[in-house]
Amino acid sequence: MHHDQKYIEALRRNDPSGIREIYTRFSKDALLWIRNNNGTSDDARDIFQEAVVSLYEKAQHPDFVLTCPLGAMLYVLYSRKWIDRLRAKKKEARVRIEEESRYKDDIAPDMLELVEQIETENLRHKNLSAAFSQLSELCQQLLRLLSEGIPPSETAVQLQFNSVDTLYRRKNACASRWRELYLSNGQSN
Amino acid sequence: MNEEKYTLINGYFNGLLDGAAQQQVQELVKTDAEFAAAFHLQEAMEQFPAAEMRRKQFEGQLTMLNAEFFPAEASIKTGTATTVEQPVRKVNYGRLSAIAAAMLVLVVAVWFMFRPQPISYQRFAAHTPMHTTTRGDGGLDITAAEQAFNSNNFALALEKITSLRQAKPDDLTLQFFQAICLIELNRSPEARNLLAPIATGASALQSDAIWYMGLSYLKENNLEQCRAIMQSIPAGDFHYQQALEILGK
Repeated sequence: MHHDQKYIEALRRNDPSGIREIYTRFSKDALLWIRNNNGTSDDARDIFQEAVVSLYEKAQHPDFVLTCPLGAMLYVLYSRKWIDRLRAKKKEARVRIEEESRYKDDIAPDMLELVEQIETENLRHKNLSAAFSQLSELCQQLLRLLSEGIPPSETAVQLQFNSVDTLYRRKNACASRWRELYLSNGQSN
Repeated sequence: MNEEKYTLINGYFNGLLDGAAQQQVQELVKTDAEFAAAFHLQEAMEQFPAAEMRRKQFEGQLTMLNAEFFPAEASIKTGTATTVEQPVRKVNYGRLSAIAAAMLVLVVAVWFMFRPQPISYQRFAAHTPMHTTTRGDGGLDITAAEQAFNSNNFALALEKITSLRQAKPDDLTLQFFQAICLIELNRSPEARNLLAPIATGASALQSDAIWYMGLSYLKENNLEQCRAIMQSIPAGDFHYQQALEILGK
C-alpha cells in the first residue's frame, strides 16, 4: 500500500479537507500540463474534475488499495482524458507525447492496468447513464427507489402498484429495456 | 443468452431465489463467460441510480474547489486563425481629435452621473446577525459572543467564539461566524481554512460559506480570485445577484 492511500480514504469518507488537499497538491500540475498542451484553465478544471471523480468512484470499492503515488495515477488519468478529447477534436498532433513519460519511474507495473479498469468502469457508467435517460419516467423512478434501498413493498405503495409481484415484473421489464438500450448504444459507439 | 438465464439473474438481484438457485447463479458466473458478463452488467445497473446520485453530489462539492484552483480565463483559441487584411484609409487626425475630445467630455459626464459603485468588501459585507439556536452550558458566553458580533466588535466576538469552539469543535455555525470575524480582522487565509470544509460540505451554511470565501479574497483586494469563487454561486442562491454584480454581469 502506498502512503498516498490516505487520499483514497479521504475520497471514500468524502472528507472535505482531504479532498481539498488533493486539489492543493495536484491541481497545479494538471493546469500546467493541459495549458502546455493547447488547453485552457477551463479545460484543465473539467479534465481534472473528471479524473478526481473517477478516483472517487474507484475509492467506493472497499477493497481498492493504492499501490502507486496518487500524483502519477492522476497524471495518467487526466493526460489520457485530455489526449482523448483532443483526438476527438482531431488535434492529437498538438499534444506533446513526450510529456507522458514524466512519471515513468514512479509508475507501478499494475498501475496502467488499474487505469484501464477505471476507464472501462467510467465508460460503462457513461453508457448506462445515456441509456437510463432514455427510459420512461416511471422506470427511472422505480429503479432509483429500489437502488436507494427503499423496500420493494414501500416502493410498490409509493408508485401505486397492486403488489410487489407487479413491481418486480415492471422492474424486470425496465431493466430489460435498459440493457437493450445500453448494448445498442455501446455497439454504435 | 436465453431468457431463462436472465430470469435467474433477475431473481438473484430481486432476492427471490432459494439457496440452491443462488448457488447455481454463483457457479454460472464462474463457468459461463456470457452469463458472467450479463450478471456483472445487471450488478452495475442495480447500483447505478444510487451511484449516479452520489456522483452528482460529489461533483457539486468540487465546484467550489474548481473555482478556487482553476481561475477562469479567456479561452485560448486552438483553431486556425483567419486574418482579414483591413483596407488602408487616410485619416484626418485634427477632425478625429475634436470628435474624440467631445466624446470624452460626454462619456465623463455620463460616467459621473451614473458611475458604478466600486467593488469593495465594505459594500458587500453585510453580515446576518449572529444568533445561534443552541445554548447548553455555554449560554452566557454565547450571548456575549452574539452581542460582540452584532455590535461589530469582531475582536471580542472572535475571542468568545474561539473559546466556545473548544467545547464544541464540530459546531458549524460557530465555525462560520468565527471565520467572518477573522475576515473582518484581516486574517482571511485563516478564515478560508475554516470556511472550506463548510463550503464543500452539505450543511445549510454551504452557499454562505462559498460567498464568504469569495469575500475573504475581496477583503485582500484580490478581485480575480474573488470572482473565480463567485462563479460557483448557483443561480437562485441568496447571494446570486450580488455575485453577478461582483462578476460585472
